[in-house]
Amino acid sequence: METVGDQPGSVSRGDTLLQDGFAARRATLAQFYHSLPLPDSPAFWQALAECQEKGNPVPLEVLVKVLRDAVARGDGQTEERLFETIIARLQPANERWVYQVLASGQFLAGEQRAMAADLYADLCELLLRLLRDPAQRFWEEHFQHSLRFARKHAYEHFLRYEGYGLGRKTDSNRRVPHALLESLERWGHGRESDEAWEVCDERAEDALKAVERGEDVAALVIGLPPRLRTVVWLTFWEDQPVKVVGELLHISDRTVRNHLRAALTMLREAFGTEQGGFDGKSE
Amino acid sequence: MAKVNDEELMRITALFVEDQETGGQPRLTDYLRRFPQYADEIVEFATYYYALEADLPAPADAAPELSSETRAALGRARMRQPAMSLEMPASLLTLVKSRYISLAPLAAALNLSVDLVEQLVNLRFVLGTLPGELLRRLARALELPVEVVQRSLSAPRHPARSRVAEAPLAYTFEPQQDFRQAIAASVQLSSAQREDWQRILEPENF
Repeated sequence: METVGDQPGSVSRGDTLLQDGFAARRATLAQFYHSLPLPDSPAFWQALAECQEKGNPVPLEVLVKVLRDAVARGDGQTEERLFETIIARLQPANERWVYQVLASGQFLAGEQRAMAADLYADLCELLLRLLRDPAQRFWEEHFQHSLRFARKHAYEHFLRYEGYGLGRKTDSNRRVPHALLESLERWGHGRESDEAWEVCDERAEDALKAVERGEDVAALVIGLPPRLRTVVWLTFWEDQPVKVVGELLHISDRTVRNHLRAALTMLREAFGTEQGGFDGKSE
Repeated sequence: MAKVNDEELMRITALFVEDQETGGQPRLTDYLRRFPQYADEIVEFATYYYALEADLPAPADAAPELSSETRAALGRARMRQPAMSLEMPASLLTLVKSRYISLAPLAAALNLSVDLVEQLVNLRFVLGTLPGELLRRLARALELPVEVVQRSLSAPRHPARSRVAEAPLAYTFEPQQDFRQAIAASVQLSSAQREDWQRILEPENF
């Protein structure tokens, strides 16, 4: 399929990159892999250090391939050392991710410290299994993105195991700002007639500003069921009319509106609102 | 609903992230138009990415000294690894996670509701009440032999986690349920799905 190009409403990269872009990446990684000495030799570890000193560190994709070779050979010592090397390079990001998950507001403050250890262990267990499994081929092609998916799965598993998420335990000290929920509801009412929502007063403008960042909206909707999440994101954040959302998702306009109402109800029930009303200053 | 091609979904979302990180400001609308079969999965990933991944640093070029937190996490992870050995089969949850399948598409593949699939992967059903057809559908969805799936359903359920702070109540396992009763009681299951499973359960005399 041809690249669509920079037309309004088009994807900036076409389907050809699903194949060609990754093929080029694979070729580069293969070249790196074949340039390394055998991993069960001191020369291999020396080569790793030299590459790092030259500012051209061995890609993690290549280290995964070498690790899997070690597993296939039954070379436990090399496997162990490679796994630790990989985990060490991920340490800053993974520790920060654990912190971000627990700071995302869904967890009771008193339990966060204990949960950090559990969550990090879950992630390491998942990585230990996935990195050793040759069927997980994408790790050898795009490590960073495979890692994102692994962390996502660890996060979702952790929420289910601990009984968190919308409708379950929530942190009573963490509230979604009333202004944010109100802005969603005002927007929803305005869109029912598909008329543009005009900011008519200062408070509404403040509420709009509160949702300027996609990260804020994402944090708000991440606990919603997938279909509700999709509808909220497309209609609210990407400003798509109800009709377009319905066409994209192959559902009726009425269903889109019902999903929006259900999402707002769930958010209100799960998070509640702050004391002090809609003044944008309560948080 | 077709089974999600995990690798294809990962390539698509990788492009989305690359667009985002190079300043392209990708719109999910465009990706959904291009790949409608993955609409919910793309949004599910994108919202997770924006909420929890977008600000994370890239992996380090050098391997720093492992922190005490990382060493502790690795130690606990290694202790759990015997679950992958032949002596102790991997649990169904482990198999599902390793296949990168979320509950919603797995539920669609099994023609069950998400609440029932959640109970299934957490081994909340009495093993003897699970019909053979369920195992076959699971095996197809996970692309694994039926025997592996069967073993996973009899894997030991994980004990409750230990906590640094002692909880006032002792942790206990939840009792397991009869699958047929769960089918009858589920509020998320559609009438058509319920009828389908009741038909399946009938000949197997559950």
